[in-house]
Amino acid sequence: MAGVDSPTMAGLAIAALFAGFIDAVVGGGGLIQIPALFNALPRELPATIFGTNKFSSVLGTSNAAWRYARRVQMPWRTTLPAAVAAFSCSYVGAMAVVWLPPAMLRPLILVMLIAAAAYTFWRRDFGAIHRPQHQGRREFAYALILGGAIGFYDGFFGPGTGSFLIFLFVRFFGFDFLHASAAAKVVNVATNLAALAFFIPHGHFLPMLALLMATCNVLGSFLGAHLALRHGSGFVRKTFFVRGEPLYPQIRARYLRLDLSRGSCGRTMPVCCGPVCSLCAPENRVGGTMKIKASTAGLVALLAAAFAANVQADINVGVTLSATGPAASLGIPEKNTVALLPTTIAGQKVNYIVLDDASDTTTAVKNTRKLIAENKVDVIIGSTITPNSLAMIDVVAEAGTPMIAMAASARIIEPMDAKRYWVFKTPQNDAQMATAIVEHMTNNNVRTVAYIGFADAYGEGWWNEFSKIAEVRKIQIVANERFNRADTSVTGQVLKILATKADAVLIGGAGTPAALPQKSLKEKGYKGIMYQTHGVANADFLRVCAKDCEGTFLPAGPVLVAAQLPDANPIKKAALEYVGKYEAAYGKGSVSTFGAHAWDASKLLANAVPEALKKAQPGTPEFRQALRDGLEKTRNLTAAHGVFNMSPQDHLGFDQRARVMVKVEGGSWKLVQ
Amino acid sequence: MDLQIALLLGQDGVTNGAIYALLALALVLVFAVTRVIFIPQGEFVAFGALTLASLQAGRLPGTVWLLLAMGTLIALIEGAAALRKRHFRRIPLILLLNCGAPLLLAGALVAVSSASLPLLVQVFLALLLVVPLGPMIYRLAYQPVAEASVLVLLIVSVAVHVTLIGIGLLFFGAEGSRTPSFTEVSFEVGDVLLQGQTLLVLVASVLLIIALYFFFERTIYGKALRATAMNRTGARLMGISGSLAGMLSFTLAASIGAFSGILISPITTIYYDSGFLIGLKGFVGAIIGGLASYPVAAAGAILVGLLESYSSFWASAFKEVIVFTLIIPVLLWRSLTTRHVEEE
Repeated sequence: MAGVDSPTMAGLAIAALFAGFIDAVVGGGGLIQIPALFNALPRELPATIFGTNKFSSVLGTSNAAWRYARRVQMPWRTTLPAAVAAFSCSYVGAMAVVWLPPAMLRPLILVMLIAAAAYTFWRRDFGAIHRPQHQGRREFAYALILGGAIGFYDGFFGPGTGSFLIFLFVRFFGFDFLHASAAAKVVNVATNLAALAFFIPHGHFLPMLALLMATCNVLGSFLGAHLALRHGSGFVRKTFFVRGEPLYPQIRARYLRLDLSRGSCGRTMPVCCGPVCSLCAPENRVGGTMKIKASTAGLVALLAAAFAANVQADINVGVTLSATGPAASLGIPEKNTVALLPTTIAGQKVNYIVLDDASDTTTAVKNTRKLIAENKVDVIIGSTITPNSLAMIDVVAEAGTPMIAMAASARIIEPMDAKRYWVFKTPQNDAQMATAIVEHMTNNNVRTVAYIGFADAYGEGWWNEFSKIAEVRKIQIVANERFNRADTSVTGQVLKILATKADAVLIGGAGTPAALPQKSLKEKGYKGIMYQTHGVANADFLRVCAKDCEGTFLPAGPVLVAAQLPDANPIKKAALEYVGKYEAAYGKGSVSTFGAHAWDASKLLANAVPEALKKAQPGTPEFRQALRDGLEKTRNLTAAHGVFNMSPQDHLGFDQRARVMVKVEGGSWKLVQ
Repeated sequence: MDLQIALLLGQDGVTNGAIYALLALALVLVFAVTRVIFIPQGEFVAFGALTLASLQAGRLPGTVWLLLAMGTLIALIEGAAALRKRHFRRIPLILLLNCGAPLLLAGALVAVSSASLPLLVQVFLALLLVVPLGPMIYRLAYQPVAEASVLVLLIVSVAVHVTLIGIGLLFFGAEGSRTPSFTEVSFEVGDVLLQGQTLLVLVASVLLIIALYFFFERTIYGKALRATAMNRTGARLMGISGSLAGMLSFTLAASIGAFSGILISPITTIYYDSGFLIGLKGFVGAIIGGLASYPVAAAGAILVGLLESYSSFWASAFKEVIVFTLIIPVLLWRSLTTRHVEEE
């Protein structure tokens, strides 16, 4: 059992103790034990974890079942057929794990949990009276079907089996809580045995740890079953639902809370969460219904981990992008592009794990950690926007995973330091674009410029770059205004700009919101030259801005006007390849320059991976190091946005060829020669 | 700042303020009748504008699917209830109202190419698509918890808001839309150029407010709503159904929201999530009115619009800060002057 230190062992032992207790009383201890194991042993295969967990819980469960059987008159006529059916189906379920994607089950379990909660919510006399409902054949048939269904579920996925069983015994056979718990234990033993019969012969088993956890689990279940038997059905309910208050309404509320909160143990060692809280401190209502999201996250994490393990030999590319939230107009084309990326590089299968960070910095960091820890990715592409990408640098540097950002700011790769050693990016720096604008301004005799930009990182970043370069070139900036993406009116700012009588206006905005100041300026009769940034380079901007954007200049990646590039330009071919692929998949005119950043990131990978493969296997730190070194050695790689020439000091490697000036003419983009 | 700029800013502020005022009225109405702080109010603005934009672009607006889905869900719930109570005769009506009507609308939209219809018909269709969402949301999300505390209702509102935002992104995409102006007319008053559309917004808002006034003063339904707002239990004892009042207030709120959206979509670009901020500013107005007084709420909303307009001239980077900081002195003043009543 190398690699398991004593605090981890102690933590797992405590988790097993709690799990045994919960299992004995209401079932569902696996929901504590499995996440605990996943957290403590991140490097083990999920199957091994399931096997170890099963061994530990089978002893605890059998102990509880035995104790119940001695004290409660066991409804064998129902329980036995259910157990037999469960045994065989559980084995089948365990086998099914191999060939069914567990992701299919994720929505299913959510629906089931909600259905169970909803049911208990409506049903008032839940599990109070023991009133067996069906007789003879009918009961037998029910037992077979239900036992089989739950058995299959347990072998396949597992968490919640105990409580589902109790729920079904209460629902379909009219048992009270105590009898249902007893019967559930027997069936659960059967399913666990079946799963073990599958896992142990296949070597998915850590003997020492399993023994330790089993001991604790038995102890916990001894305690739980003892208390449950001594205090009867009422205890089982009271433990979870009430403190001497009227029973029934509480049952609904707490049972709901119980089921939904369990999965939340997934993120931390379950010292006090979910049902455990309601046990150790009834006042502590931390495990509340608001945990639905957390529990989903826990389940997703579990499934993702299970899924990742099946494909370990492939190259895993983690992608986090802003497909929703304020940056969605940039993130969506990137997401669309990822779907078009090659699935094999140098004969090696490539898996893309795409997560949405909702344009939110915290989520981006969380995604990055998840991709690294749970999906064991070899490289991360993302994120869409600068704040997110900046925040991700620390995480990837700590894990030694190369990252290719799709955000514009130069700060992502400059100044080069030990952390940025791991970070690359594909979009042109804002400074490059700003230089192009200033150059164009000097050529057109612009002496005074007004600036109006987003009141966020984008507008601020452009202001910094632009004001610096403009000062050097002796262009006077006469106004500096801000507006919000969601603003309905910029009249105030526009009036102020008009009053300055500036020769030109630069609008530092991205996507369609950047059309608002331009439309207002035109409406109020502004006659000067207008500049936009490359953030507006998509078809929607033209649609919204319509005739008010005629004659606007902006710098952009060459991919925007790929077809107009001279044939001698090597970028033309690379850009047209991307445009063709994208439009074939998403329709004519749908292409934007943002998706091409994702495309270029994959170009960089395709260039670096073959060398890295010669040095190490995907999934290893050596491979990630080799991949990083390979990315840094990129020379003369022609992509959709330009030609990459990386160096240890420059992790972008674009030159003048990566930008062109574009004019809006007749409702479309026109290359300015 | 010379007089001309001051006038222009004032005109801009009043125009935006008029829209905020409409939303503030809707918020006060919904709160008074159902105690719901209706955060999704702004979503109706966005849905109204974007539905109209989709219709004008000749696309089938996503709201059709939302309408169909919610209608089916309600029909299922109501149908099941009717079955259980053996009110078989009610079932055809339930089906017709909740499934039949949306289906008919969807069918009509598929059949005719909406882009070629006259503007007024398009507006009417957009309203027809968006307004029923109001009572449907009330039926699905609020009616089951109608007796819950204000806090629970607020939490439900947040949930509905987040859901609608997500649905909006799914239906309309991340990029915004703008609809063509209703009128290209513009007037020259002195040196100031007045756009016809801005005048239209003002006039329409004022007309709508007047219409609301008459609705509340002169019609039986309006009086029923006022009665419910004053005393829910008393109104119920007089035979005014609480859920009918709820539905009605949500219908009004949805129509006001959708109508405002249609009004401003030629002036500004509307995104799937623009509604929230617009609604929030209406909310500031409604707070100034203490969520109770219609005239003060409307005046407050106009004040918000003016404040926004002038602060965007003086300190554009701090515009939102200034507008939302307004709420602090107002709340202070209100909590110091009003007698505090413990709720529930």
